[in-house]
Amino acid sequence: MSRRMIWKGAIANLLVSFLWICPPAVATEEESRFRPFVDLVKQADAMVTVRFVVKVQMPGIDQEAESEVTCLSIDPEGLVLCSATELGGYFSVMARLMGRSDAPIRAVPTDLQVVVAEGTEYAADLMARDSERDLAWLMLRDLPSDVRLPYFDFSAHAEPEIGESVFLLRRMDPFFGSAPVVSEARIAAVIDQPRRLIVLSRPEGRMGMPAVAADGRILGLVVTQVPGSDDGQAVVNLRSRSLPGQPGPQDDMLAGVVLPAGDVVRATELARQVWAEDRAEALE
Amino acid sequence: MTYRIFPRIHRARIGTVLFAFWGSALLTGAVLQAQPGGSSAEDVSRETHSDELARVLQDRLRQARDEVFPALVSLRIVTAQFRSGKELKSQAAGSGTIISQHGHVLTNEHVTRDGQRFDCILADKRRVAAKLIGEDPLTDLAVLQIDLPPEELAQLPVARFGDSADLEIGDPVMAMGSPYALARSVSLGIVSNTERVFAGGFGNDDLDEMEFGRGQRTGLFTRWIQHDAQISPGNSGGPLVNMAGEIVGVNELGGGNLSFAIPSNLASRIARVLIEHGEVERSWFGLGLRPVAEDDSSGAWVSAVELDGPGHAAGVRAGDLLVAVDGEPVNVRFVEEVPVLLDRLASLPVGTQLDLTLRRAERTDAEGEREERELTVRLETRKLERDVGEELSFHIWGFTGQDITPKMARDAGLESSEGVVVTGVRRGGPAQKAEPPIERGDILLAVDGDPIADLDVLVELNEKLSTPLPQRPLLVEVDRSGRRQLTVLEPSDTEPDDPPRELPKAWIGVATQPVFGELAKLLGLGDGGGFRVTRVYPGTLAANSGLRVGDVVLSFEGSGLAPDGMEDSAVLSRLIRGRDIGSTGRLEVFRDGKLIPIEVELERARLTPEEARRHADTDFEFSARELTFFDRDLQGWGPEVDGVIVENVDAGGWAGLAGLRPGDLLQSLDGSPIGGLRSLRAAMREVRSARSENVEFLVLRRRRSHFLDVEPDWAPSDLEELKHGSDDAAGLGENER
Repeated sequence: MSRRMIWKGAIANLLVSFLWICPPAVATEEESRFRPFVDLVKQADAMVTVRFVVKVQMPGIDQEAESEVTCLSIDPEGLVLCSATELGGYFSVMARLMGRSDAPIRAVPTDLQVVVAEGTEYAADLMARDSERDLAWLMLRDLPSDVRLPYFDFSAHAEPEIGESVFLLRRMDPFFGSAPVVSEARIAAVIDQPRRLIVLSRPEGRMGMPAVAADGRILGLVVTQVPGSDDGQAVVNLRSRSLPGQPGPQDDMLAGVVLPAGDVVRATELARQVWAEDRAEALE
Repeated sequence: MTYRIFPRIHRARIGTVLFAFWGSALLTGAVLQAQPGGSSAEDVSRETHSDELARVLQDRLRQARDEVFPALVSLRIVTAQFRSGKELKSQAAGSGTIISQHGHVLTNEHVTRDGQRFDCILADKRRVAAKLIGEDPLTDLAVLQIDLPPEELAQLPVARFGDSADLEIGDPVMAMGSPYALARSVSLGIVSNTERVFAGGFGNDDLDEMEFGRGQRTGLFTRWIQHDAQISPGNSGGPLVNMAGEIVGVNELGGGNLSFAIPSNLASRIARVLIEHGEVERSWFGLGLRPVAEDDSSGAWVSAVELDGPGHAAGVRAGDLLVAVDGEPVNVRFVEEVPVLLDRLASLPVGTQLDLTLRRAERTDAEGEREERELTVRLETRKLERDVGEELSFHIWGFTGQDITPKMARDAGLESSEGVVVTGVRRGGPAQKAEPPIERGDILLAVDGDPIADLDVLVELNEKLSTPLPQRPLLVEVDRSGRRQLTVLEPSDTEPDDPPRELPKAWIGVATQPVFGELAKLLGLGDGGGFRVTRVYPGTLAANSGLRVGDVVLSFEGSGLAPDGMEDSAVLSRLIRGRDIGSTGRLEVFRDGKLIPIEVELERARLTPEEARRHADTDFEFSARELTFFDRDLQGWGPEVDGVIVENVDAGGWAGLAGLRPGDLLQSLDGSPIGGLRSLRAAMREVRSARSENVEFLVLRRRRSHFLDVEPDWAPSDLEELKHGSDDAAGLGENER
């Protein structure tokens, strides 16, 4: 286990311990207000660190860059869910935002290594991705059969209601010991274009991290939504409307919205199918 | 050699050139004498005389040309250079001259530098392979040998050397070569200077300062012939020819009408040594010399003393006046005389003991009185090592490394030349991922406790580790600015990865444009709008649904479509993608003023080029990907057309040499049809195992098929193998030298 992971663990434990050791100083109502924070921090072990090398090819550029992001374990047997943008999709997203959706950019995340909460590092395969929904799935290689990973269960999800509280989990930068942090926002809107999405009052989440209702059920995953390859011209048009200093379309696109958990579940099922097909094809 | 000036292309007749260069005096005379009062008989006589002279000169020029021009060769060289921790192959072009009946070709070292493969294009236009015999970076000379059977070599034309010491300023000379890699050509000029040195112009008389390339000195031993015969990139290594049809120089650098050639007396001597020994061994003194300043003085100033050099060991000090070597007086009054002395001394056998007579001014008392005294020291020469060390790419380590020469160590202030200096780190490679990361400029000293004395040791270790790769981290010790640092590096050899599969989505095989505003009104849709079909992809379910170009889709699954602007251009396709593959999509379309219901089965979206799988071939150095539906549509290729799309081609690789280009559809390889990546891999395996002498590619470029072939070199040396097979997608480039 690397020193960084020891620190992360130690700080997480310290935080959890602190929350448990401190006796409740206020009445039950107060306690229930804090409960979602406490419960969510307890699930911090389902956050995993993904290290990878992204190989980028675009006209005039052929380079590799090492990167590290936080993703979610979503089943006990090694299935990990990430934001596709965070997992190397950033380059394509920027090209799309610049109106160059047709730019021949290839950014392939490779050499994927997943560090689970207890510090073990596993190699992983990229099963599939859904660039439109900003999802990417990894499968850990060689996870011992007796190991069950802590995970977020997206099947037990809640339906969003405007105005209700949302609790967002993330990890801080390794500089701060990768400490888990919970913040609170409210559902500001539920929109249908480009697809059904939950808009938060304060977008404090990190891409690829969960948004949870007060009762602990998952509302969805924080994602980026940018126009697809068939919207390229649209973004150019939008950009031309914003003058320097004015808010532009990218402000909303990159702020982070919540993809409903039901969509995540359906897409995950499809990803499993694609993965099974690919493996069968590889065995032929 | 870098040229900033691009010359104009001239196709002047030799006769015209003769008048321009040679006949100026005659012309001037003609103009001066063609004054009123001159008789017509005299005019005729003068004209006849000048015509006659021109004819004689033309004949002379042609004779001289014919002595050397047939021996002129164009050179094509595959080079491997190192940037950003990777090996980048490219092709370079230069010129050379056949100087022996054994097929030896004399050229510049900067032409052959970093060369991996050498081809000569002969006068009869044949392209033949050559091997490198030797290089001498200090004089920028190299010798290749043409790879032909002895009986064919014996048939090759050979040029002979002239005496460059006989050249005088104003002598006419011809420069021969392949400017800009174009076919062989000749330009004409005169000698402008016979002892050009590149020092002394602005108060700096130190010839050590002139470097040609990364840290490589040149000009220590050379006094160039400056001339004004036009040379351009690609002329490098070509001969400078006198009117007797002899090589009097080797063109090396220039631009505009300033051209510089290495004198043939130096070039022929170095060529002889290279042919005999493969390298030029020289004595090293560790001294810098400058001319004496005063006109009436004799000797040479010792301008610099290397602290670990033979001169220092003998007790020579900077500021001493060298007055004699082994009793023979030294007289260097001008900077042009320095190369002659340096060359004479360097040509002595390594280990020669010399008595240097020095004159030294020393302070004799507290008042600062200085007294000059003469002393003799004994100096033993050592071998002059190469200035620049060899460089290689170590792919599984993720860096490029270079041997450290004594000069490099001295220049960098290192204690010794032990180790391998890291010249570049590949982004995302093992060296960058090492903890802590290895950086450019680090000196690799040891791996797992075993010292890395030089590049050869690292090459050996690399070979040991490459098969198979160690599945463990290595403890690496590096010197970083004098600090001995440890790091952990895990070698890896990752192949190019395929992009991840996108989740399959539903699709209707049409392209559309949003219809809104004025366009909607003009199409008869009033204030409404929709999506106008601009293309129905053939071979899709949509093509069989009755949808036509010009239809405007007004609703999908009962939901009205009313785009407000271009930003809504993907609304319809997004709605379709939200449905299940295989389900039926109900559209309402507006056609010829009528509303028509159309049902289309939603099919799985076709693979895009971005998602297509790839194969990278390290032997032939190219990569290819699956042919997609959209490639066929774009190129107009029907379903009967099969193959793989070529993506990247390394210019210096075998595929590049065969002429394969990005965008080509590779359809067959050595007769085996290529239907996809699987058949490509199988065909490549077959070619590799058969070690085919000639490999044929059949490619389709839009509507035209091309036959390409290459003769791969399957027998690289260990070092070559490391150079060849060690890198991924490489940069492309071509240049003339």
